[in-house]
Amino acid sequence: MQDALPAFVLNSETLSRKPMNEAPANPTDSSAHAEPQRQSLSDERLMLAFTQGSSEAFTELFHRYKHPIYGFFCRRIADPANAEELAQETFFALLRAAARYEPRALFRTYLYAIGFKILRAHRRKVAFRAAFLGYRNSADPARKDTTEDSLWVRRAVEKLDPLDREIVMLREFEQLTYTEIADLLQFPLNTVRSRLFRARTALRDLLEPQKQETRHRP
Amino acid sequence: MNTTIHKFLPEDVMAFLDGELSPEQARAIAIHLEVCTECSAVAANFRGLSSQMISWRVVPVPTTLEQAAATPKLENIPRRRRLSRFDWAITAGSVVVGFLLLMAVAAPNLLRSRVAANESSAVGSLRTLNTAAATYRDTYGHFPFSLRRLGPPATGKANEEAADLVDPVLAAGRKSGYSFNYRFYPAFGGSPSGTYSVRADPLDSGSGVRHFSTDQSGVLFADGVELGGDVFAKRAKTDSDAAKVSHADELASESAPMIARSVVFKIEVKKMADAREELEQILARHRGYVAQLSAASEGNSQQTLATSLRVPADQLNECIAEIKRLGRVTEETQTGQEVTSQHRDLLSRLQNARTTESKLNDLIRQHTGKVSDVLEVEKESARVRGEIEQMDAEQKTLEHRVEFATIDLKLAEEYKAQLNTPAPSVLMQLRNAAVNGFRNAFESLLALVLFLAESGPSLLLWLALLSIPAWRLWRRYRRALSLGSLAGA
Repeated sequence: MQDALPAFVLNSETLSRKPMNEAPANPTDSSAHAEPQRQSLSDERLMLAFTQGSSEAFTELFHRYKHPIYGFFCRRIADPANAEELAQETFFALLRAAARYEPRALFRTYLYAIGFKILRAHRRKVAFRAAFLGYRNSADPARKDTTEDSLWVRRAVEKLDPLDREIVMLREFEQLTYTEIADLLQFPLNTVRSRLFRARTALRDLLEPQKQETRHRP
Repeated sequence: MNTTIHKFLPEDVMAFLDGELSPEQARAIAIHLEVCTECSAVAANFRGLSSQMISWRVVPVPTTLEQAAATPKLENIPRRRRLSRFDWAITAGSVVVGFLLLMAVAAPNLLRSRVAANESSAVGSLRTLNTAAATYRDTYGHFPFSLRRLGPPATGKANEEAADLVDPVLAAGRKSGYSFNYRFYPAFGGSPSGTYSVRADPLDSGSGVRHFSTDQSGVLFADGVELGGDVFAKRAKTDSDAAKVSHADELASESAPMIARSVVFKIEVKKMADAREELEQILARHRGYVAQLSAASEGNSQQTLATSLRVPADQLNECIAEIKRLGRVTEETQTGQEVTSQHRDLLSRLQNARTTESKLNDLIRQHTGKVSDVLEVEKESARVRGEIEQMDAEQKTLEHRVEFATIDLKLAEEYKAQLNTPAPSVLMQLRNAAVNGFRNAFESLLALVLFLAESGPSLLLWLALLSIPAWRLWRRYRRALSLGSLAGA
């Protein structure tokens, strides 16, 4: 089931990633062999190194998280150009806040919290323009990432309750733990767990027809 | 799945697959999954869902993103984006709407206060003009021919053409939203000073409401009604009017000049209490009265008293002599304003008006002519009656000024320096501070309540008007926000 994981498996040492399969994560990136020492460092150590002036540390962090952060925005925003801009803004915000960084929580949680804040600000702005000025989103309806399967999944996800949708996406795509999701969304841990279960059950029901259709396809 | 048979809930299976259980719980569920086909099916469902989910792939990271973040130096990072034109427009719009709302609430109050301030300034200016005209007459023997003659000279010293008695703005005839129209009437009947009248009219409805006027008598009128009313005028009303009228006739019949006298004194006394007692005795002896009095104490030593006294004109000289004995006179000014011609003029006009009224009354009694003509005559009669009453009041005021001289007296106790000025005790200071604090708090609360009482209805009206579109916009915004969060923003 390792193949079923998202392409951007995280590297943090402090994290014992256990996705929805029994096999542990085993990333096989070519850069891992090129710079074994740097890659063995945890995200938090790299961030501390960057705060002390190591630009290589930031480069390593950027390489680790450019896919996850870009994917985070791409799945939530229709326009890929906007997603790129917001991903870039997230890394810039990380750079700006580097002097104030303290490793009190996982770096990953910290980074997604920044991304989430930027996303919410973007949504507010877009909603405001749509409501008060009548601006419409100029995103290309024929998205580049649209395949038949992904279209099904996206439509099913869009039908979920906004909070359930956010929780299931953070778990499935960003691979955050329940505790991290609870911290990020400011909800009790049990609420996150029960809502995740509810969202997955709903998703299973929504995706069932598509599964059967695929099975019956010659 | 029946939870009474299975040891674990489907939610626990999900948590197990997500790696969220403790090792003991995970081990127990793993063993259970090996033997329970139903729970294994649940687990397979979750795994299948996860497999389906990752089919939603995203496009590869653009190279532009890589390039933008390739230089992790703080100085290369663009600053946070400044406000866009849109943001500026929204901010400016909000400020303008807020300002308009504030103006809608506060403008009427501001306008009212402005009108009140202008009217107050106009009254003050008329008083200044009266004083200046009297000084001019004392200096040059007649009232000024125009307002400009009271203003400052372009160069050199004050002269008859420009006596430098009022500021240039007032001399130009316009000040604080009012225009001042001065008219000089040449002397007749032997009086060399002449007479004058000044009218103060608002420049527009926003700068003032009332029209003021005055003349050489010093009495101020607002829309034809005497302003405030002096104490002596009120006292005159309490006296026998008939006696006054007969006395006025007597005065008119005589050709003796009518002079309104006034004296200003500043006297330094040893003991204020004794001086005040003595002053009251003087007034009682000469049948005078106190028109106005105010006493003050500066610090712990010097006491002052400012009073305006009215004494019968024939008793003035004796009264002055006795007042001078109260202490050391530091300042003395005596003035006398002749009002004979003014009084005669007033009596003539009054007599004419009475004759006219009598004729009009005769016409009404005869009842001849059309009804409309009779009504017209009655209307004219009422107007003449009003004029008679006004002139009657002016005559009484004038005669009272002649009958009763004015003494403006300022008494000051001799200054006695004290070596040890007793400072208030700490407890007293604390008490005073507490009292002041309570009073300030109460006053601020009262001010707030007054503001709400005065502006609350206007605010509520505007809020009610704006709440409907605001609520609609808010709903549109919330709808757009929820649509935006559906991965489409």
